Amino acid sequence: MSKNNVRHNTEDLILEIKNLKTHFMLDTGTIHAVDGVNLTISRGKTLGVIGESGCGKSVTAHSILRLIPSPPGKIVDGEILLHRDGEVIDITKLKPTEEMMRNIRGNDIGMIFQEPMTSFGPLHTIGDQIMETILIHNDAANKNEARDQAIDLLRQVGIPNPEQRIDAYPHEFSGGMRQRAMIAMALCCSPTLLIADEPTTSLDVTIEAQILELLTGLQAQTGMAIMLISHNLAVVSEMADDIAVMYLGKRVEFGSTDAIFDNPLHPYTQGLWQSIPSVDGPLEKLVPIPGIVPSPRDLPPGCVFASRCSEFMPGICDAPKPVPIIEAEPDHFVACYLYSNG
Amino acid sequence: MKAFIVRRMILIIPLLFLISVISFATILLPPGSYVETYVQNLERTGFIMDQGQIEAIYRQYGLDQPAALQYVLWMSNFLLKGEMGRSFIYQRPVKEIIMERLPMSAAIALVSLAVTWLIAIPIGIYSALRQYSVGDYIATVIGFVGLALPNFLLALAIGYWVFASTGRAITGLFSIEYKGAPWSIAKFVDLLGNIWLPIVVIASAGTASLIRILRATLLDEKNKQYVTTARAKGLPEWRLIMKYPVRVAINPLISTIGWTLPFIVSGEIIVSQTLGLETLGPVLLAAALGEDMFLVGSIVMILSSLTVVGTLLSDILLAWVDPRIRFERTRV
Ligand SMILES: Nc1ncnc2c1ncn2[C@@H]1O[C@H](COP(=O)(O)OP(=O)(O)OP(=O)(O)O)[C@@H](O)[C@H]1O
Ligand code: SF4
Ligand SMILES: [Mg+2]
Repeated sequence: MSKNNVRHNTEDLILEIKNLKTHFMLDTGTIHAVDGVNLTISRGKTLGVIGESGCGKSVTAHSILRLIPSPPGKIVDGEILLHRDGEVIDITKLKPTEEMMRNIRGNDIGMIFQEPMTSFGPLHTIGDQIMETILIHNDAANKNEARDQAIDLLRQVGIPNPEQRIDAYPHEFSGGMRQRAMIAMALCCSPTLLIADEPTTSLDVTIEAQILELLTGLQAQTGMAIMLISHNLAVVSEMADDIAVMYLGKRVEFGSTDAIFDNPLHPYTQGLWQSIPSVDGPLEKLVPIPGIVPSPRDLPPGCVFASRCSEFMPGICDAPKPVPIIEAEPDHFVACYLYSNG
Repeated sequence: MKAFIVRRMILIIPLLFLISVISFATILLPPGSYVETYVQNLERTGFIMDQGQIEAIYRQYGLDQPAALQYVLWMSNFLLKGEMGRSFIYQRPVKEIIMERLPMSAAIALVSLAVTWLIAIPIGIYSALRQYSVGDYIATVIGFVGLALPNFLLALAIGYWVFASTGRAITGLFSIEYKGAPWSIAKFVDLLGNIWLPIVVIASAGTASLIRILRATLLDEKNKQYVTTARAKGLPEWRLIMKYPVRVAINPLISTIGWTLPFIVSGEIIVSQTLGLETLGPVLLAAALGEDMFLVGSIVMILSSLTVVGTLLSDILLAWVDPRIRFERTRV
């Protein structure tokens, strides 16, 4: 879908998601959690992924690392292409438990989660869990080296007294501290891509700012790419180079942060933006757009946003076929009939 | 941690005191003192005692004293000399009888506990990881059969089956030729041939509930965020399951030791009676039937105290393996 140009030079690509479909087969029906998503992430860049709760952001992220519980979940279609040292690996073709996949996890792609309070095992020290990651991905390292490295990482993420705190248990850390430790763990093998799934949602505002600042700083140091999933428009606009807007398992709009903010095309994106008082004023969190999100269990035919769209065009938007993806301006994609010239 | 252990040890003292009082109360409980029973039994055999002889017996056992004083006497004898009075039925010191049979009782109880765990943990892990698989259902059914069948019935059924198919009769702990014999390798091997039956039977009762607990906790734990985190780090599946959710799920089992111990002890009593094992169980039953109350009270006290101590040890063990609990409980 993307033509070669300066920003999305294929050499700079590290992850391409093409037409990804991840479904959950439940007794009560199939949930189309992710239903034809396309994303690209370039080296050293930050991709912001936004959308209301339940639109499939986490399922997309978990699909990349093949962490979807199966059954009931399954990647039914699409490709996830990881560019690594000149080769291209289609992650959807790997078995979740196979060695290649385990090598990618934690090593090429690190991930931090929404829930810092529960993301560490409760019975092992923080240090043990960080060192473990270093040791499984680096056969040459011994315990002492891993420990020194873990202490260094904890210092880098701003944990005071890392020499002592490395032996602390998770319950002895506050939420913000745990998320810092989590970042240290995700970064310990210098991944080329860090997936941050709402890393600050459960933290208070000052801690949130500190964590985001930390991520930006670490990105500048290491040159890693970040896939930042967030509810928070302000966070995304500050951090991201590109933004993907998701709605009900679809990526409805994709473009550079400037393009998405200055020229939002999809009615859903425009709806999100309407809550923002002014360009210079403080940015607010998403306010709900009128109407309710239909259940991903029984998707409407045609455009998934039709039930809430003020621009709805009967006979066109509800035609029972996928909405075409249109490149409305260079590198700015939108899935909406308003922009198809036909 | 040290402070925690010391505190728990101190807390256990009033509990042990209470046990000793209740045990002593059982001694005084039956209507008509056991001396009367004793005298009646003698009379039945034609031996008539005069009042003076009877009073001499009362004095000999301190029975002419008030109850509180009798308790103090009994306890101080126990604490200072390990004496617990005399058995009327066996005509021997209670201490001797208990020392003879307690080790075997304790061994059977402890080995049964260990066997319960050895069976329950792998099955529980398997059941949780392969929820609703055929193996999971089979484990559940067998577990419930073990839970529902009365111990004595299971003991008789297996005993009969062994006898019918091999001709070996499992009664008692040793074959007749080894009964009074000193310990030897041959005697030990003979013991192994018999002792598995009571152990399997006693373990069968506790296994089912342990499997259920482990399965339920593990089902809960294996979907927690920290397991996904471990997976996202690239750990091999088997290793991460054993290291994280299984470890967490096994901890609650440690706290079940406290309440499974009494079941194991009472299970041991019933099974030993059924199979005629030379343990404390049959003695306790015979003593209770014969109102041999020093023996009854002493056995009750010893078994209860050991159970309480076992619970304490399991508590300490739990705090030792679980940093969260250590953190919570060791704070004053
Ligand atoms: N294990 C699962 N089994 C069944 N359905 C699931 C499972 N995981 C996710 N889903 C469904 O997939 C859909 C997308 O969920 P997802 O977690 O990706 O949303 P999200 O965009 O991350 O939302 P949030 O902002 O709340 O985190 C939801 O409808 C959810 O119910
Ligand atoms: S396709 Fe139609 S219904 Fe869907 S967003 Fe565009 S205008 Fe609205
Ligand atoms: Mg999510």
